[in-house]
Amino acid sequence: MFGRLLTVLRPFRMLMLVLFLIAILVDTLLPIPSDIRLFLLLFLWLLIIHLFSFKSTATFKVALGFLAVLFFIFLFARNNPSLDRLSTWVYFFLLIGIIQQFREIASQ
Amino acid sequence: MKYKLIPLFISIALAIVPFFWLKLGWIDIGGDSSRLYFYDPLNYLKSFPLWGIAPDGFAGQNIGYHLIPFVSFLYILKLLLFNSSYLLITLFNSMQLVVAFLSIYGIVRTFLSGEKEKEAVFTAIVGGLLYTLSPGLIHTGWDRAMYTHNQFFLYPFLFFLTLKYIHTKNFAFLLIALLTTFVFAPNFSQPSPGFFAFFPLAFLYLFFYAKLIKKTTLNLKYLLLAAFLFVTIHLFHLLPQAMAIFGDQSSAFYQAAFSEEGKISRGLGYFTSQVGVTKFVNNLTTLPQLAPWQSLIPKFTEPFWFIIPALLILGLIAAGKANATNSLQKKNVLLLSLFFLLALFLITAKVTDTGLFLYKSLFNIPGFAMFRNYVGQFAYIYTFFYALAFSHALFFILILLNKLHRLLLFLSLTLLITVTASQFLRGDMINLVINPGAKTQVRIPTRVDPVYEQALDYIRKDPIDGKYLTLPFTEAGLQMLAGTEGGAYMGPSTIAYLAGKKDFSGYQVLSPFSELFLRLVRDQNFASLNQLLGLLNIKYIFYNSDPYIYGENFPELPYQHVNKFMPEDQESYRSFIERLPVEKVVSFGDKYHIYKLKESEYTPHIYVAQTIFKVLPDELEHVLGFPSSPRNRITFESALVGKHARFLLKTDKIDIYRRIAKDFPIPVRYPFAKWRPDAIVYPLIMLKEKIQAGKFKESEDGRIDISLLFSNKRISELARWGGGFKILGNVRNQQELLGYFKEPTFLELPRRFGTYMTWEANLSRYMQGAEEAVKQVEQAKKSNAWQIEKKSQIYEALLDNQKLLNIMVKDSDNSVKDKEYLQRLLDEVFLHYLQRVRVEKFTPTVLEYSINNPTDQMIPYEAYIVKDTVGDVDVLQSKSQFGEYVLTPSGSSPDNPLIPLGTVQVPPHESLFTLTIPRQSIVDNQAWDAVESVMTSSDLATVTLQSFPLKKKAYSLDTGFIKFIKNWEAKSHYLLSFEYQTYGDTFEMSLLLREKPTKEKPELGEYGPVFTEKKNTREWESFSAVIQSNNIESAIFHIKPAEGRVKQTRIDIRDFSVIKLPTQPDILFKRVDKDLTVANVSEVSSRPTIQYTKINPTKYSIRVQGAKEPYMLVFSDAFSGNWELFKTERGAPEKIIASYFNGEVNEGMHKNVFLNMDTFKTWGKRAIAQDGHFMVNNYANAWKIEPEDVGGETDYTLILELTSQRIFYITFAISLFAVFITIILTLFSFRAYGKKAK
Repeated sequence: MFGRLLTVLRPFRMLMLVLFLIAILVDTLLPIPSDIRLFLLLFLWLLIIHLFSFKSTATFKVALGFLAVLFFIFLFARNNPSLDRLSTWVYFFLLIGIIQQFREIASQ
Repeated sequence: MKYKLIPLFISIALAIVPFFWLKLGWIDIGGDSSRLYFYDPLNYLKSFPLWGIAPDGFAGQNIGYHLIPFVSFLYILKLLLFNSSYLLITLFNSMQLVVAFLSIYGIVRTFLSGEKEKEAVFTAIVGGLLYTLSPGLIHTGWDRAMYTHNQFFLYPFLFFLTLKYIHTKNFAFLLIALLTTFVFAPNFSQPSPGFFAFFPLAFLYLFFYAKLIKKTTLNLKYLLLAAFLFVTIHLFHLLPQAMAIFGDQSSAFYQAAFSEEGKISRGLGYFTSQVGVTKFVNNLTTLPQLAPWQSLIPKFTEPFWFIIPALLILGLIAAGKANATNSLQKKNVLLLSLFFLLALFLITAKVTDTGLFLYKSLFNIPGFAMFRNYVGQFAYIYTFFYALAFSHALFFILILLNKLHRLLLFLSLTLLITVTASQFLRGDMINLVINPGAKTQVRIPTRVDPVYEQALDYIRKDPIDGKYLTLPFTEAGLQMLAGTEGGAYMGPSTIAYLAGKKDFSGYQVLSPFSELFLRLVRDQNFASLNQLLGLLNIKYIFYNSDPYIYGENFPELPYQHVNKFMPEDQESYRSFIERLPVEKVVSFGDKYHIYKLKESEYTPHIYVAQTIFKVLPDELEHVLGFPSSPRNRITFESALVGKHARFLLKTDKIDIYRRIAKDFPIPVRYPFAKWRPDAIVYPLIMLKEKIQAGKFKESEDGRIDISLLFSNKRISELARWGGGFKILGNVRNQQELLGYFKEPTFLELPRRFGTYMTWEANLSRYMQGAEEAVKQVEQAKKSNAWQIEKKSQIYEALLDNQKLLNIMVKDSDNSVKDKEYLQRLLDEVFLHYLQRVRVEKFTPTVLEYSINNPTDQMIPYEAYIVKDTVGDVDVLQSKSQFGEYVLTPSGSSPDNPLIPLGTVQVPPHESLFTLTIPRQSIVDNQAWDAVESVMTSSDLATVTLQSFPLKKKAYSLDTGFIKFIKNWEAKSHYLLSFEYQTYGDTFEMSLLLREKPTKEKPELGEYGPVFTEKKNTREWESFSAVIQSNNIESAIFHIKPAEGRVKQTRIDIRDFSVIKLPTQPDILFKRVDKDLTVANVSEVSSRPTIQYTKINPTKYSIRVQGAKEPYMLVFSDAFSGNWELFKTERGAPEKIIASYFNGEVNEGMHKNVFLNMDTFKTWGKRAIAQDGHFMVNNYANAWKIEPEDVGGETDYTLILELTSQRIFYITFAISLFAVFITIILTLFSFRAYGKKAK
């Protein structure tokens, strides 16, 4: 089932990546955070990982990207509500990256 | 190899740093735990930890056994350090820093054993520094550190030892850890949040580490042995603690862990308030969760802390790419990172809404409420895993870098950490100000005044067993002592904790007498105050007259609330003390003074009661207030008061708030209606309502509230889905409407699905709720006062419901016919219920009371007004009507807190009476302003509306007539009332208010409506409402004909008044029979002579002589069932050091024996007079001793013992044995390991 889904989505993988990045940007800017949005986007990232065969490094790099954005917002607006949302993104990308890397080590 | 010396240099530096925190000879003591064990460990040990009772005034049970090893350890250290408290505190701080650093260093080195050494050393150093000087931890607990702060170094150290055991399999490491836990037993005692925050996660990690990373087997036998030894070593405090918690369900610990209030209100409530202010990003970067002005770290360093999570992520990336590296290290860094994330979740709580929901649900687990301050509780475990994960990840980066980059990175990180902690390193956390906001700053570090030490020594050596009252009186029972060169001690009483004397040092310690004490001081009621001091067994007053610790230096903490009652400065304090029945004993210097209560006022610690009053606890203060009450050895017994004629009768006030619930804002609550009545889940909602209502079967108040709430919910449903409700038009009157709808049974559900969605069904269900509420009031066997209160509550709720339903009907899209049909039904319904709950009109100048004489006889009582409660009422102009009696106050002396009213015969059971007082209305009854021509019963001048700056949309003043009300006083309540007759027409009555300008709103505002009500009557009715005036400038009362209801309008109004509500004074009744002959006061004619000797704070010997008749023995320590009396063979009389009441009570030479052969003398013996053991004086122990309790003997010796102390003796022996076994096992384990290694 999951494999078939991946096959169907594979031609649109670039589109999905772009969509993912835009969605993340929108999510960060939206005033009210939503768990459904967050978990859907995380699921989308999991699909992207499979579609592009991304390693844990890629997930960690995205986490690092979030951290960089977090840093700049922190510099200029310490009470910006987006800080909490971005921290949550860092948290989940770290978590996904760690689990990915566990699997990579296991597969080695 | 030089790099290996770096940890040594850092350790030396960290050990030296605390030497700069305090000046030579200064100490930082005080705070919640006092830290007096650093100052004088031996006397601290003798005063508190050895005994199962607190050394404060009431000496209630309080277990401090866990402190014994730690305080003993400090005592030994202090002896080795030339008896210097400064050295002890400083070296202890050094030890904390060094052990914390070396533990983390050791853990990282152990993890990386076998890896590139130089990188491993650098990594471990950074990890150690990151933990030790972490911004999140340098702000926590260093300020007058409690022993709980030991977790900072202790828990990582124990983790290190356990890790060493996993690596080496040398059991000695675990045994050393166990011995360490014995010394630091306070950190493993009580339900300690720090312990539960750290060890479950730490041990879970170690388990995974051993199984997945090291792939080693854990010897279950050894682990079980270690667990057994741990429990046995700590048995001496764990078992007494557990017995105290589970043996007494009213204990604070039990309540906090298991009661709904503890779990939800104090636990979840506090947690929720904290979640909002927790910043996720601060946790991610280890920055503190503090306001900028509280933070000690330089602001410019804060952004640099993003380097830490960035390097962690880069390290994880590097670990993923480092193919050559040991995969076990990779797994370990991932495992550590996972635990870091878990700890991050725990310290942040709001990682997504789902996470927060899960977190909140954990509060249902008994005991989880201990984590309500989750940021503080999880800070240590979080920083611990962060430091380990970070340093491990750093290792993977360092091995990729060349020498120069490696060194640069190492130095940069070290610099960042140390610069950030620079203020901490220079001792700012120790050197805090304890009186923020005051003119002169007073800091924590202090040098104890040697003159005070002399005073303390004098108190310690005083042979008399009397209690102390420490003045100036503080809020939390803290004592204030100025140092010789600035600084001050603000902490628990040194008289209690270092001199071993029971001390009432403040408000919280004096509970339940705190408020009474303050009132008596404020009112200068010395007669009652003297009696209270005697009742509390206070022998001495210790007065510190130093102006440095009282007055302008400390306007708030630690005096806050008590400041309003106690003398305002030291001069007034001195005059106050001089008016007490005391004589000065001695002064030390010009600051420390000890006074002694005159013998005529003093009641010894143990005595035989002379006069026994049967009064309820809350009446005690009033008995003390009667100057004619007997003095000395009076005892107040609350048990068995029951239906006996009472010495005092307190009246129940039927105040305005019972009579009129139309408060501002109107307190009627309409619950949110989430589901339509024809929704598929609606029957479940009904079931839920039924279950909720069932919970209040036993409580009339609860049933009334819930019935009204569900009735209101029916209105909410109509309000939300009004258009969806059909009108069937098949109900003729309110009687039919009540029985119209019956809740369907389970089988009827499919057939009757949707029958809820009619106006008739909904109104019928509304009526059933109202009917239930009204029935409860009518049928309850409660006092008249209660019935008036409840009827008023329902009346106001019904008025509000009526208003809403009328609007709904009027504004609905239904046909005129349907509207008229519904309106007729509503009018009938509300007419019916409003009549059933109508109460007589309240008159603010006639204050109502009820009184309950529990006997079946008429008894003479004298009535008194309590002066303290009269407020602004001129009671001398008042009169009271009690049945046929008319009582008038006769005045009283300024010292007397009571104003006599006269004598009445109080009939059996409940009676009502009134007190009439003079009051004027602030508005004239005649002058109404007409908006337009209307038929009225008064002559009115015509004015136009344009003069009122009203928002047209908010409220319309286009018709009717109005009355201006001015002259409001701020922060007062007023009763607006009048009588009206509308001749069948409907009128709307509204009140509009305008506030005075304030600083925030300098301009005069507009009038805003407070309430609007529709009235329609053919008889004279009364209207009343309570108005709360915080800052009212003026008000308009507006009456107009209701729109579209009737064509002709006429209303008559009379007796319109707005009267400031008076304070309703307390009135009490005292029996006027001869005091000592009535059933509730008794005089003990034949009393034995006693001589008591303290063996230790938990044991007294009482030599009784001439006990021919029953007598009551009183022991003035907090009541506990564990205090028991044992009869032993009569011992030889001891030297008498003090004698009272002509030799009836004598004090022997007191001792403080911890253990001797006599300790076990009473073990196995049966306690006497256990059935006659009860509480007196609202706190103390008393025994009624009959001659048969002591085998008919008249001369004998009793041992009074706190039997719970025996558990400690037994368990302490077991624990010491376990410690001995552990030491032996450690030696054997090292020897065996050495042999094996060879």
